[in-house]
Amino acid sequence: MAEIIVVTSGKGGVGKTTSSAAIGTGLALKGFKTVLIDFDVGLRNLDLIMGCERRVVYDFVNVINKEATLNQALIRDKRTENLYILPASQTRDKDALSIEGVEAVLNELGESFDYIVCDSPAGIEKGAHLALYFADTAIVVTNPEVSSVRDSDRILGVLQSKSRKAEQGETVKEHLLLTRYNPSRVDAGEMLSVEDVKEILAIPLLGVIPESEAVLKASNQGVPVIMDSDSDAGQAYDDAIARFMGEDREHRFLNVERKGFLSRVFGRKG
Amino acid sequence: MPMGHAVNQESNTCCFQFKSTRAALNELILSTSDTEQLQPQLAAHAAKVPMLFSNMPVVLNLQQLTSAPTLVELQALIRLCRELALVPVGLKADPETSAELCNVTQLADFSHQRRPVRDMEAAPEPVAAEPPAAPEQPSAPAAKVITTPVRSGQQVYARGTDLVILAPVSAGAEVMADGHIHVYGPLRGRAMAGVNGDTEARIFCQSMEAELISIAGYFKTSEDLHAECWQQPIQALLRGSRLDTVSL
Repeated sequence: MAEIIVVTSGKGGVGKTTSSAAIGTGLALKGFKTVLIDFDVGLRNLDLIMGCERRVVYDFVNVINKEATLNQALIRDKRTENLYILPASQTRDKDALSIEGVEAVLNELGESFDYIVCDSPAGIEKGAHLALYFADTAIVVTNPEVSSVRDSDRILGVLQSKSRKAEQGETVKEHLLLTRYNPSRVDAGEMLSVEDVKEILAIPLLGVIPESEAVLKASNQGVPVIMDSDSDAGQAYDDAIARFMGEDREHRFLNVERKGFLSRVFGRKG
Repeated sequence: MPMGHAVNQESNTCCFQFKSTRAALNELILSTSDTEQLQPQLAAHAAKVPMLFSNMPVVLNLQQLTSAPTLVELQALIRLCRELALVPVGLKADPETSAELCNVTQLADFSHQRRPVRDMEAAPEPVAAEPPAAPEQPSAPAAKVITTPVRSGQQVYARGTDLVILAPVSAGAEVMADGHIHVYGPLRGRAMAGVNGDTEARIFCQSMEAELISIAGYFKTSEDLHAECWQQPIQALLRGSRLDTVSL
């Protein structure tokens, strides 16, 4: 049975889809058969980030309505083996999703996949609720900014009270992914620090993704940023996946970096 | 009372047990029996604290009324209470007439009670013919204990008892209790103790970072708390009508 991961945040525009794409790709690169599901019905974006928008024929809602089979709707990623995308419908809205329909699709996917990564829409309404309802694990994407942190707190509350696990008296595993982190703005007191956010949300930190030009570039090119292994954001996502698999890696990109790559590799004096 | 399911399968096993319990009961003391005058005020109060009114049992106290209400008036009062999600369970009225009123309205009669409920409970109970199956437990209502974080947007209410929270209370969360509130993580949301009007209730916390604290309706906002005790371990209590914070 596949592990169901929801990538969620409450607030919009914090990097859920970018993170979903990176996490799904990262898991597939590790050799796990992974499917990415876009739950943002009506505002389909994941296909763009994954660069498969031209190959969308059928979508999630078609499968739920039994207008297409899963195999017809699943898009096989061209770059990464083991990776599939189930796109959202652009012409419908969240009401097209039903809890039974979502469950049936997840059950069918669960038979052949190792990981199901659900890219949640923003908000706490139906779409977001359905995306997190069946989750075993949640990756909560947060920006170092008070409103984003509060919304993440809210979604954590929803996770532990309105998910299937919660209803069965179990808990959903929680991970914090802090994105758009800018150490120099933290030093200037303009941005919350990692410690501030950890202190407020009180959940384990999976990774800190630095604010990076590579992310925008990757989005526009339709290549998940984790594939850009030269970029800081790509490396940070790679670290996060390694931690997710249980590896112990030190957090990087937390401090203002003035020295070059070599000095980081060979250590700093003083 | 229907007893259909309590079928006695073996004649010598006891099917029931009387146990003294200390339920939280509130009195609704009325100074008028005019429902038209009462309705808007009570409804406004209910709108302010809807959690309080959700099926809260009350004893209707009519002893402050200048003239004893008629049966019709009393029935109108009971209807009004039920509309506002109160559950009238008893009546305090003129002892002369209360028996009859209670008989018709099927409420319990509290009119003859001189002493507080506590003393009544302490009185020895008539010994049952057979010894009770289990020894009596001390019956003060157990405090509500929360071990997971109370997140923004969540509400926790400990009705009729204390609330103990062993985790953070986030900004935007609300914790309420009829009794005391203890928070062993940072308190960043709102905490309201003694929401039923108990002025003896207190709030204890390890790190005071609340948006608002309130005891029996007297409150302080984070602005005041910033100046007094921010991020300190403190208790808050009422002294007269002043809400004081004291370092722990």
